[in-house]
Amino acid sequence: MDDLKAEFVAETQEMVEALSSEIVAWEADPADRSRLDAIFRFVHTVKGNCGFFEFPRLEALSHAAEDVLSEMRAGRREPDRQVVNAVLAIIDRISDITADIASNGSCPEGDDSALIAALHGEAVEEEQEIGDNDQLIPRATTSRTVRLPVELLDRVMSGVSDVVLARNELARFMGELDRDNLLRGPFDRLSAVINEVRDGMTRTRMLPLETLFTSLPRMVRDLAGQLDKRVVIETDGGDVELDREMIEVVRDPIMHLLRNAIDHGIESPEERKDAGKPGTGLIKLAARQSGDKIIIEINDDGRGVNTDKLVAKAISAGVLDEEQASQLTMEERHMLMCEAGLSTADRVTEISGRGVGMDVVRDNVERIGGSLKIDSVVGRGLRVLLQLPLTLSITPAMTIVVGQHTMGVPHSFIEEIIDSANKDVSFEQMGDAWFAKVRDRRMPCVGLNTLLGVEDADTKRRALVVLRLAGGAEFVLTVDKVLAHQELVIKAVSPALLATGLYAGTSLTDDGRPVLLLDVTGIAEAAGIDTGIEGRTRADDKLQREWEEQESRVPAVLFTGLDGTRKALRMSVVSRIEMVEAHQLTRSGGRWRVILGDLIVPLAGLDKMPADGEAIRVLRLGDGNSVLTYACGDDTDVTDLPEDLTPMPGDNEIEAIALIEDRPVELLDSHWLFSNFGEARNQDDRPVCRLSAQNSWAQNFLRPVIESAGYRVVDEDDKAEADVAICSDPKESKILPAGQHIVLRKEEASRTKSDKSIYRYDRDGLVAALEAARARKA
Amino acid sequence: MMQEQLLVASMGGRRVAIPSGQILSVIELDKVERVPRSPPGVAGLTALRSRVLTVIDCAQIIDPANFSDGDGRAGDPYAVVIDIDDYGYALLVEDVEDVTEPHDKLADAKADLGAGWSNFVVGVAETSVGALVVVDPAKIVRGAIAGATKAA
Repeated sequence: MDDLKAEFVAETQEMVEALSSEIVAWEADPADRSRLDAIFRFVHTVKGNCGFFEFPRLEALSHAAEDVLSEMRAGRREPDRQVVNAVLAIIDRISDITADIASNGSCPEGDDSALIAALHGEAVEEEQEIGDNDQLIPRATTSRTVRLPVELLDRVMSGVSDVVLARNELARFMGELDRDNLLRGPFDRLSAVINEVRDGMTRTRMLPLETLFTSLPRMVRDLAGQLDKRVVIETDGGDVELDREMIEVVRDPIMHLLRNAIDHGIESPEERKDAGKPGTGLIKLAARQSGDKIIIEINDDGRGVNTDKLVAKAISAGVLDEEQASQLTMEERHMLMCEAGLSTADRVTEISGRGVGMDVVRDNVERIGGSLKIDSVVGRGLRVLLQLPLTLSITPAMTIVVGQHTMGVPHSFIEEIIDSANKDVSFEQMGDAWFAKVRDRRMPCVGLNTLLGVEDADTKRRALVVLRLAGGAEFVLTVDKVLAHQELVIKAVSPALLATGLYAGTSLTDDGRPVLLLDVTGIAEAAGIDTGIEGRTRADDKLQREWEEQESRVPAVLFTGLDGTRKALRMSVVSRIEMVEAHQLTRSGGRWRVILGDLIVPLAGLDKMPADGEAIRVLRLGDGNSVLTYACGDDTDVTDLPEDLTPMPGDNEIEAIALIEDRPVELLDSHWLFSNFGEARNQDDRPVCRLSAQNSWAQNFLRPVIESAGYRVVDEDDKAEADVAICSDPKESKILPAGQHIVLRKEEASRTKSDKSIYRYDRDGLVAALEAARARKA
Repeated sequence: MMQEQLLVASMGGRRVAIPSGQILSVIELDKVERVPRSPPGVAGLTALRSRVLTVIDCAQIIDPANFSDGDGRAGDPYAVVIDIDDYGYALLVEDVEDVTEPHDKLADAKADLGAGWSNFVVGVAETSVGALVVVDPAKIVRGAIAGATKAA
């Protein structure tokens, strides 16, 4: 709270400082509308800000001044000398009180009723005290900070980047020197110092948005309480880092927008229930970084905005004539909200006032080169999209490969990255569009190669990057390969390339090669993925329908057997594709087997030993009980089985023949394969670990760890006796019977000393616990 | 009076002069990173120290009819580096000869230089290596931006 208070003080003092020339000018010419607006915004902002604190005097003063100024703005009152003086006196008083808050931390006692009375034209005794501009000189506050021009920081930062690149180049040469070369010591020191300098430089400018977000839930709760509404706020993207300066700039617009959403957007609990909505309103605030832009989206699920009403109001206020109004697009109609003096709210309230909010917001946003978009669906909610520039930023990004190109994808958009060979992934085509189904989510799937017109890499196996737009819409981008997580220093992309709409910035790799940062929103738009609020709901409905239609589909893995025929296997039995080399193959008892790690697994579909040193691909199949492999060619693909299959009753190995892509495909009978080739794994001496099948996180992340620790993994339905069970909750131990339970906790730090649980990402700790359990068993 | 020095280079198969005042440096291009879906006239990106430069294919901007595809000149060895609105650009040139001083002020071309050229030429200079058309590199970059905007 003290931080917030200090910020409030600093901000108010800064505004007073900036306002002093406006005040002088307004005094000279009280009819000057733009000065009037500036002063109005000041008191409005003070009023809004001090609402968080217990500063009743400031609130009363600013509210009174705002009332009078608002009258003047509306033309209902003339700005005569007396009222101008009274307003100026109030600004002086606000400045005084702020200075006291700065030194004492609290609002001083005092009586402002005379000043407020003066606003309404009542005579004031202490005439000379009013309008005394000397008071406006802000008091110097002791400060341990230095103000620097951003341009200077930019220059130093780019100098530091040059140093880092030169260091990297030098490091490559150092690699060729002897290990005990005398230069190594000094170089390592230099290198460490350079890293430190770079980190420091980066930090000088960046702060996570979290610093702003943390104060919001409280504010929302308090505001909602005052209005007898129930509202919760969900924030997302607090880790997005912003220039310090930028955070200051976005604070006000965000506050204004939230106040508007609570006051005018979210309905009362009764109204919401009548509309069939939950009684508690939801505001979602999401931040994303895309290249040199920050996208902040504020979504509420309130009543939305009736644009007809807005237009009518604009016409009656003389902002538009009927004809102009008829030509407005939906977006332009919404933007009327930002016209000064227009507000659809039927009442004026303490919180967001008289529609001043939106024009202030737009002014502030546009002043810093950003933009603001509004859309809404009546009855369903309103969305405001702020797009803010970022001249210099470090963007955490994943570098990816597509064709010959290396590119970056901003990390804040990435939900997850999955291998296309993962069995949780399947692809479906509907019309000309592709969809990827990841576990139970079906998302539009965009091939980056195709979209960029880049030649295909010669691989069937791709990486799937699941992306989530600021609006919540998700889609999948397929790329050839995902390289690494990198912190990229992003520079704006030149206008000549910006026009493509696909790139958000440029950066350099460590070895000095230029890389492009993808504009994820632009890519989504280029691929025809609807990103708007209406599109979102529409897409959801459409997906729901398609989903139902598609549920009956059976995905299969399509491949060419080593005998040259096209074969297919039901996806459900294929766990993954493995490359095995000739030396991993053995033949005994007329059967091929392949050594995979510490397992010896039967291999079907192979007729002769491949040449020495040659590798073959095998599909690893599992039925939950036994494991076997099937040799396949290089061209594996995933497809849906057609509905009409021709059964092959005479053939044991082949369940049916299917026509896929106009070619006959043998669908292998997985049941026969397992009964014929499957061998219960020779694992009786292996310890058993029970893991809940319901817990997909455990299945995806823990299972490989546990298996590589030499355990056999079973789930709660398995009758086998387990040596250990891994629970993500102590309560789970009831449904996961085992000799011993290992409990994982979500927090890194343990709650108590006796807490034996293991942090869920503490791989070493988990492996050690498994080792200990095995040792005990032995 | 001293005239602004001119860099004698060739682009689009023609010898041209570029006013040296706008030129930050002339570099030997190491490698140009292609940009997928880049507009015509943009050959790709290259790095100059820690800066990323947009590589402009001058020949294609000036004479799109004869130089429709950048492939022929991606191997052009030199580029002239300039700054436009704080963005860095590397303008591909086929050759760089010399820096020379014009004898006199720039003269009008007094003839139609051809559709492509007339948009980018600011005049003709008499120099010790002969008469040269003087092109404005900023106009070439703006031509590329205009082309890109149109293509989008």
